[in-house]
Amino acid sequence: MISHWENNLFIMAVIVYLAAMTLYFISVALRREKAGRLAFFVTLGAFALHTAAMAVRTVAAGRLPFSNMYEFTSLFAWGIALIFLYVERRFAIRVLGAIITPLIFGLIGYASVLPGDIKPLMPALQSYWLQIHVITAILAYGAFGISFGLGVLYLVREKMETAGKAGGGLYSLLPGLKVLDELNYGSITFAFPFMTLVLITGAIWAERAWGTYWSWDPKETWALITWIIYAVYLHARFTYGWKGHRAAWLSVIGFLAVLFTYFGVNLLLSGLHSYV
Amino acid sequence: MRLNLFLLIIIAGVSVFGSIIPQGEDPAFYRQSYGPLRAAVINYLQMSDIFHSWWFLVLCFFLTASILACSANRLLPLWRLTMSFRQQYGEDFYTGSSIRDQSYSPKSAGEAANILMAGLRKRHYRVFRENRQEGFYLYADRGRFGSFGSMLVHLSLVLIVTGALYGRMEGFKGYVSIPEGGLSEIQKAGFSLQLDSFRIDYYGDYTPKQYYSDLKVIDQGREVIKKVISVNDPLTYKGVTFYQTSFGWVIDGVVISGGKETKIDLMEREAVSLGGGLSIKIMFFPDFYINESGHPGTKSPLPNNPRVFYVVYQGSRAMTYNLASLAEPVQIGDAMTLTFSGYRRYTGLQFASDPGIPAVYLGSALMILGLFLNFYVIPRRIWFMVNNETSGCRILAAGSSPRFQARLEEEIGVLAAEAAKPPA
Ligand code: HEM
Repeated sequence: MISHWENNLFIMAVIVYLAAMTLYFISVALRREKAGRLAFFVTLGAFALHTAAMAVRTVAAGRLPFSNMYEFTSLFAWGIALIFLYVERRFAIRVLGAIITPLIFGLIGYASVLPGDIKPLMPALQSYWLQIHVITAILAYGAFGISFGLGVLYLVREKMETAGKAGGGLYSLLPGLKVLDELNYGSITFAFPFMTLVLITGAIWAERAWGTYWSWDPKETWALITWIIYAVYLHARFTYGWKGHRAAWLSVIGFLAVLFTYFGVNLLLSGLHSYV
Repeated sequence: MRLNLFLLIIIAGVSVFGSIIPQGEDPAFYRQSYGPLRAAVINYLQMSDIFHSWWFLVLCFFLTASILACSANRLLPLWRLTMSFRQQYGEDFYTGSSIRDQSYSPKSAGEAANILMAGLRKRHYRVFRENRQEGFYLYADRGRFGSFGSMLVHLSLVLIVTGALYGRMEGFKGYVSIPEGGLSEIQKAGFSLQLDSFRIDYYGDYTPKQYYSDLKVIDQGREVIKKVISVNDPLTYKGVTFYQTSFGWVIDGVVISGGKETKIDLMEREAVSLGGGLSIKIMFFPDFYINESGHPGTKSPLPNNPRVFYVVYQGSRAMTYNLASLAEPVQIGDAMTLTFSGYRRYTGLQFASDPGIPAVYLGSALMILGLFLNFYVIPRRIWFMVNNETSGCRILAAGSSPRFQARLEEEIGVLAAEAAKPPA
């Protein structure tokens, strides 16, 4: 059973995220900086409601909300919102919201159609390693989500420049290419150590629970593929100076791999992680 | 040099295949799902077990070799660069550096140098000073170990891969089931394991909360360890780890045949010989009832109303089957009776010995440390040349850092400005 309180808070969060997304779209369509500023605070409100919903769930379940697809999808959206709010506050890139809020809305919308009953925790999931695993995954995936948004903005701005549409309008809302590129690099360097921790803590957990730290099941394998893509990003940048265009594409591809690890593997491939 | 990127991409690509093609199935499965032609290719390239195939091993080998070669190449220059501080340079070095600064101070060279040193120390730099005829050289650095971060990451990767391969070669895996009160010899490990009791905790709706096996290790007749294990809390002895994996029921049976009484342990779903070409399989219903559709079932996992369903086979043919209560003798053929006298639990334990694990975990820890050094400990080096002029002094500065150069340039500017400030 999902409690009334949690349900109401969650639905309100979905609605307010939707409002934030609409405001970001308006801000971009009408080139209104003000609407973007407002959208930030609306997102903050949605995030607060979202946090409250998960806090209520944590209390009701007597554990952190880590154990099924509904819970983790909601957390995934929450992590992206968290890092987005930080980046938005620190670097004031309003347009980023027009990419990130649909992402959040999509994830949380997907969560809302999944079965949300609080299920007791099965023995294999009772592990501190699992908790660290999930927390690090939220941070890593959140920052990879932001890097994806920045990569898309980079490609959009670049396209406008080559198409001769530079100047005025939407273009004026976009930060410079160099800023986008470096912020993107920043999010990936933040996320990469956490992603490494995701792999390591997952391995330790599997070893404690089943006796094999790595069994090449599709979820593990895709997490490794994701990690390698970002390692390629870092190397290409450091040793061959792959910045800008190609780096932006790699950050987009990296996040597609994150999404596939997350959803594609569950929907298309089978494996041990069948409960998450 | 591009080899490493190439290798990484290849390994990622191979992994994609490994996740799409189901691994470790038998040949018939691939013929059925992929057709004979593609199944032959899969078989030929060992794609049914990619991650244990010889060519995947070769890839791993190239990866480690490439990393080792690359690290070996870079170690010495890196070491020199990191340790060769206090290098004195001429003016050209300062004017040619990509991060540089030049300013004049009304203070004497000594005073300016003192202020610079204090400023550097406040910013956690390590400072060296050299006195010269015309003034002073200052050399300062911080975070110099950050340069070793990526090297540590790479070497830890080698450690992880080596540990994994070693573990696969030297380790073993197995499964054992032990009834309550039973003792099982673990052959590969060379000691025995006894199960004193087994317990399950349930949530309100009878979904299992946790399984507990109360185990004793008996080595050469002596009890050496006692531990209650549960899922996520295994027992390790002499490098072999036992994991709580499954459980089930064992029924105690008493067979009377030709005036002789024999005791047998009947595990669920496991055929047990009764002699005379007969064998038996049982299923246990701890809380027996007949459900809505008329089939036997169990209302709860608790033994409130125990019944045994048994099938007796003659060779491979089912001869008779029925449902029995406990202590109720069952007639089998003309000359045999069987009584189910009691029930116990058994525990199913996966066990594994993997001597590569310490290397893998040490490698993992070092990798995290290396990543931290690489991304959060940014090496910064600053040189100052402070020369006396006819009035005051001239301050030349140079800096170097692999990352965040703009930040270093700003820092140098602030430092020099402090030293150049005229007295209030
Ligand atoms: C064939 C394998 C590899 C080779 C030859 C290689 C080589 C290199 C080289 C030459 C650098 C530049 C380091 C410097 O000058 O400080 C580097 C950086 C780095 N490598 Fe690798 N590497 C390999 C695999 C990996 C893998 C699998 C990872 C995954 C963790 C990795 C993580 C890193 C990181 C985090 C950096 C620092 C990048 C940065 O500072 O932006 N490397 N690598």
